[in-house]
Amino acid sequence: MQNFKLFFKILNRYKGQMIMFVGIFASVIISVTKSNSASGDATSYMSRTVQYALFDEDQSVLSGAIAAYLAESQELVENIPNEKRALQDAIYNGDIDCSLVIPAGFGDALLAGDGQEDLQIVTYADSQEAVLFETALDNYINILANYLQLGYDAENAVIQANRVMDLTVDVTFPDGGEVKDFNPAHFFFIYLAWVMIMIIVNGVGPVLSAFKEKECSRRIYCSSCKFSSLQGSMYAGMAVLGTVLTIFFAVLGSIIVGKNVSLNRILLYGVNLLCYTVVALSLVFLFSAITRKQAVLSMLANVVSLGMSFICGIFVPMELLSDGVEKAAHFLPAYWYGQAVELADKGLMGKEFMGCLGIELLFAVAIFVVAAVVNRKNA
Amino acid sequence: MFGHIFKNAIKVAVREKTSLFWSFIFPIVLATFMFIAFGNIMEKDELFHEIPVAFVKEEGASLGLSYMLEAMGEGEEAMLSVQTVTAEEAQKLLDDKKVEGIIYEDGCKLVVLKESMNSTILEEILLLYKQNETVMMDMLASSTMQLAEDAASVPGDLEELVKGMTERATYYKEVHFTEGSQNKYYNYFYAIFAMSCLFASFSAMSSIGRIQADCGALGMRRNMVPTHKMLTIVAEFTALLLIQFLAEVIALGYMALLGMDFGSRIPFILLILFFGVSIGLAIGTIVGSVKKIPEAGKVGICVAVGMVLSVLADLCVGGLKHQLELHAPIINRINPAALITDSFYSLGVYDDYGVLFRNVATLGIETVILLVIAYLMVKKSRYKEL
Repeated sequence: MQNFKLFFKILNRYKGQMIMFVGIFASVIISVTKSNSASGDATSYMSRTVQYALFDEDQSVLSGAIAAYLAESQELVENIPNEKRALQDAIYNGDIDCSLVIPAGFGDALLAGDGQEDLQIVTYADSQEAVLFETALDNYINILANYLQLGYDAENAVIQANRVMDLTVDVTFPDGGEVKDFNPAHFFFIYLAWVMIMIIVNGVGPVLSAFKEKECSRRIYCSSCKFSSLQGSMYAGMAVLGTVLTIFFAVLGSIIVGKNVSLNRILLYGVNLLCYTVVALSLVFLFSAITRKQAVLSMLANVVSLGMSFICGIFVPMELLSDGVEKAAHFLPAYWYGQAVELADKGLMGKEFMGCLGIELLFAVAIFVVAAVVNRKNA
Repeated sequence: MFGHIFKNAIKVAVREKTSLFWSFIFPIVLATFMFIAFGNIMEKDELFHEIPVAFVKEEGASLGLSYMLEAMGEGEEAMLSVQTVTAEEAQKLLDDKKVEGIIYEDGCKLVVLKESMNSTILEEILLLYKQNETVMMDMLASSTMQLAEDAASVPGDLEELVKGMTERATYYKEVHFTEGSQNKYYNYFYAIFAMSCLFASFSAMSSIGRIQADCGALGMRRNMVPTHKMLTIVAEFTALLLIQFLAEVIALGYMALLGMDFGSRIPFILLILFFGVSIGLAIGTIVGSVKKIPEAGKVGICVAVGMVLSVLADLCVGGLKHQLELHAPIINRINPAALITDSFYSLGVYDDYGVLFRNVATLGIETVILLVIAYLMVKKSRYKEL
């Protein structure tokens, strides 16, 4: 009990630091969640569109028709200047996927059966968006050209081409297809895989290091207190702290993103977060057994939390990573946390979900055992 | 005296083996993780490749769609990789994620596993077929008279016409403004450099602690000697700058070995890293100069500052920096991490050095301001007894 109280006395000394980390990372996760939030769960197929800038230097009937068709089928972004640097920045920043210049005289050239390679598209080389945009654009102009060849004048060729463009294709998902459009709750809770380790290692690390300060540790070890009792007190202190942090973030999550999320799902996210918090606590226990230097603790926290986040599908969807990376990620707790978040997204609390939690806890136990052994050796 | 302090500062830094090890290993380990995650993501996520698709034919249907898909799967610039299979086989291929969609000739339908740019391209291709079919019908209708006069040219079905339609005119040409890398995932690697530069603050924070009398016996001894504080700060700073800059250069070499393309303007990259490390050390110097905060607290402040600035420069999730650029550009103009990542970007993409020099100058000015403030804080310290 004495050591348990001591844990919180030391924590109280570092409370400013703890509050600072919780505040900073809570702000970071809220802003990241807001910037990544999708509009909601998709239930039917929606075509993707390309964001583009248009510079119509021709201003003819035909160029107007092309502009109107693109504006209807793709996403026009206005107020982008037709300057090299502005376009480079806009493409790099994701404001647009490409830009199109319709040069003066293009309409006349098309009427004369010419105009090939007159249009200028600025884009990334071989990007998917460029292929889609170019396919749609070429398709429309070819159809216009066909009607012009049939003898229609410009206005009537446009009417005919637009009639053809009204055709649609039936696109469906198979039964049980992966309709995946992450909701804000997903982003909030998935990023906690990174945030929780950062907060706990940077916040609890100094407390555990204080226990290992020469004077403090010698006084403890020369007392009648057993080594197992000391370890137990620390575990208990960390368990209380971990539970408080989990409840804090679960409540914060339900406030920030819980408007359209059921209580059941919030509970699933919360239980998963609690298990992952145990992993984070086991990591800080291990790190503090390895080093007492705060700077090194911090670097370890960064390497482990960021490293796992990058290769376990926390920062980028797992499907974008290679098969080899996915296989390797199975050996890291953040992967199972991410899998459990995805199951919680669907409100599924079956064997699979429980399995993910079990694996997270097994990781935590394994790390705690290693840390206890290292602590014992260093005692 | 400068040389003496400089030499000893190097010795102290080298003897702090754990900290030194992590200073060198930190960016390398992070870059490795990031390379594993993002090394091929641009290739996989952004670039266009042939779309694998299953095609289910309908008995007795015209060959128009079949010909068009076949034509689109041929040549160096093929758009599709088509497998003609039965409905059951197609479903299995889709379930196994071997194809991105199934095209059913019956009704010209498309089934996809998920929404993606490729699924929309497949949709566009089917639309192309249906639209061209309609155009063909219009062409046939409008030229009935001529066809009747010349029976030899009457097509039995649309197949020949469709084959002709696949040889369409191309009305655009693609332009790429830069030969440099516009791979947006590179920004994550730039942000690693930014963070590891800012984390140089740890060593500067410890270093400044060693010249403060209330932080230990060494500080007491150093306060008793009549050396100018500014000289001490500059000498310590220069020694750490050398070591941390070396760590960044090694990280740069390592990333180049991994295959990262940072372009050919290496001297300017070194310039960015030099000023990046400088600002990191300056932040550590000023944090270390603050009194009445325990070392753990100072480390916490350095971590918090480094992390927040790096996150705002898109370390974890892309798009934050751009949002700031739209709504609060001043933050990007002064955030050292954003200045570092922007400098890398400008070097890779722009032909001129305007942005690079502006950013580097800002980093330099920030460094000088922080060092002067730190000096004034340390200079003010007076001790009744040592």
